[in-house]
Amino acid sequence: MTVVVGLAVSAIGYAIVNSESYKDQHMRYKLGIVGSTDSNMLTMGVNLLKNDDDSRFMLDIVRFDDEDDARAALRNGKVSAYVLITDEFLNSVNALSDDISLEYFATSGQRGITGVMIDELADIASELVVSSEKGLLVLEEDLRNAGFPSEAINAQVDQLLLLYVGAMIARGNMAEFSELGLANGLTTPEYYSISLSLFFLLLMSFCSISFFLGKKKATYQFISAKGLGAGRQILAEFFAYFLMNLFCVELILFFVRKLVERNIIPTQNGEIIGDTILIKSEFNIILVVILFSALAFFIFEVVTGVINKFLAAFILYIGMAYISGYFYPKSFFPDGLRILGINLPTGVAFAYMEGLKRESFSTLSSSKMLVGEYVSIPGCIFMMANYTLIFILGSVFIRGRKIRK
Amino acid sequence: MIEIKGVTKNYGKKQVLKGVTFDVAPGEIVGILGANGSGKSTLLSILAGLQRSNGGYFAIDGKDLLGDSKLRNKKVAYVPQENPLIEELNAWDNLRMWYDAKTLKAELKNGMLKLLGIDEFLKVPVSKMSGGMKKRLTIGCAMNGGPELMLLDEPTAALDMVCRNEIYDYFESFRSTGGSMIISTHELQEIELCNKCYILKDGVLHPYTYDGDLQHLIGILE
Repeated sequence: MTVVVGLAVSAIGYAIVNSESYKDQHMRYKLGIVGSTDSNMLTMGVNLLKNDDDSRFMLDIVRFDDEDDARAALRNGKVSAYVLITDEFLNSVNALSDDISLEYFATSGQRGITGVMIDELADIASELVVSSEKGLLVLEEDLRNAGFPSEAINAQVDQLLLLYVGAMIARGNMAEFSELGLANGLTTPEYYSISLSLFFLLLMSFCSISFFLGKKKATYQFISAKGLGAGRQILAEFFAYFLMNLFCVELILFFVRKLVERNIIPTQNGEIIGDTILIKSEFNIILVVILFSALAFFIFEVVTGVINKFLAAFILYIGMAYISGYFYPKSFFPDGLRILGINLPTGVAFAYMEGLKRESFSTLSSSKMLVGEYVSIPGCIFMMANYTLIFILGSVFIRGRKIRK
Repeated sequence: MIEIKGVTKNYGKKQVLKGVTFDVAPGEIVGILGANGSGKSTLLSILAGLQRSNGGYFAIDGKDLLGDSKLRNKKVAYVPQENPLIEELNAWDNLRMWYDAKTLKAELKNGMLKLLGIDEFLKVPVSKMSGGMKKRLTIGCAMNGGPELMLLDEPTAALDMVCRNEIYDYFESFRSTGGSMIISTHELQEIELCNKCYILKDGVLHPYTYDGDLQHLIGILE
């Protein structure tokens, strides 16, 4: 069962990363623009972009005064990318010089918006060509009306043309693209190594489903009549169930570690894609195993019948994992769904593992705030503990009802 | 002396037990008769501590058991109607959940478990036991700690004559040591075994003496 689950997760992960829908995202993008709100030129540019016939169907423009806000929004998935427009850049444009360029920031999951931005820059270049042509014609006409000789006019027009061409060539490098990772600063392999490892942990709860088979209300009642009430029954069973899950996880990690040692599993920069997090945080992963064990225990306690238990848990796992960003980046979802996904047990576990990854698996006592999410690792642990408590108390409540019926 | 006074139980607005009152003397078997859904199992589950009553008093030798779960667990054994044993385990392992090894060996050698004949199938998994073996093992598990009162919910339902007689023999030996029993039953054989019987109807307990007229009994229950 354990091997089957491992293979299934690997297959799903491979399919997701290589799916066409992942590569070609057709959606409306939110683009952040960072720059001084006092700048009339920037305001005018943003308005132009908003009202451009092409881009208004593709882009929602969100203005930011501060780059940190834009970066936080990007990491939270509130914007798909942001462009940093400094005062120096605006001055450079005004002076038709070529020494300052735009800075464009996106996550690696936003390949689509990169294309949109490149199209926009090409459009801007076209506009510049048209405008410069007009400028040349106006200059020529003004000089002619002023009575300048043809040689002088041609020399001035040539000089302006060269200036425009120089500016145009420079504007070919108008933007510098920086990739901030898929989400929260993680690269695509890091992101999916976390998400698939967590999904793998969720599915691992099925390995111990036999623990819940053949149980009868009469057994609960009999044990309760002997002085072990619903609370003590659930605590004892949950502890046993958690240990079984942990054993299964550690067993797989043991074999993965052996394969790595013998260089059978390929590595990238010394890390194993897909199992990086698990291997590096064997102690820390226990907290996630506790949370997911409690979740599975609650589902299995509520639902009766082995097929029903399996189906209910599987459907819930898929749904929760999906909206928590296990298969697609969180920015893929609308705000409401994204916030829900982040706050589900699967989302909290994801934030916790992301935090560990970003802090290079430092100690749990670290109170460093995670940029963007504003959730600390202790905060994640607190939320995971709350969820665990809720699931266990829920199980106690359900068991109590079974005993009393 | 076991005293049960004014036990009431409501499910929402429906009153299932309306001040149930009776006594059980040491060595006495009391039978509770009633139609399905009359509240027999509810009464037993309240006395066993599985459910809370809405009022009433349950005591052994003047010590209140409804408010003292530790004392109740020591003094009262409960045998549910369905098999509560863990199917994957054998008889020994099921017994070990409730007995320490030393006591268990002593009981199997010449104690109450020997009387139940459990020593004959110690290594048999529950899933391969007959109904009679399961019931005897359940009683054996329930009886650890030497309780004074045994609550039995239809103890011989779906058992054949031989199994019933084995269990009745055990009841007689338990009674002979001063143990008391409250049995919820439909079986005539068990009614005849009881020192006194009550019929639970509409939440009220009525004294009843079986005089061999089955039709009369059916009429009362209906």
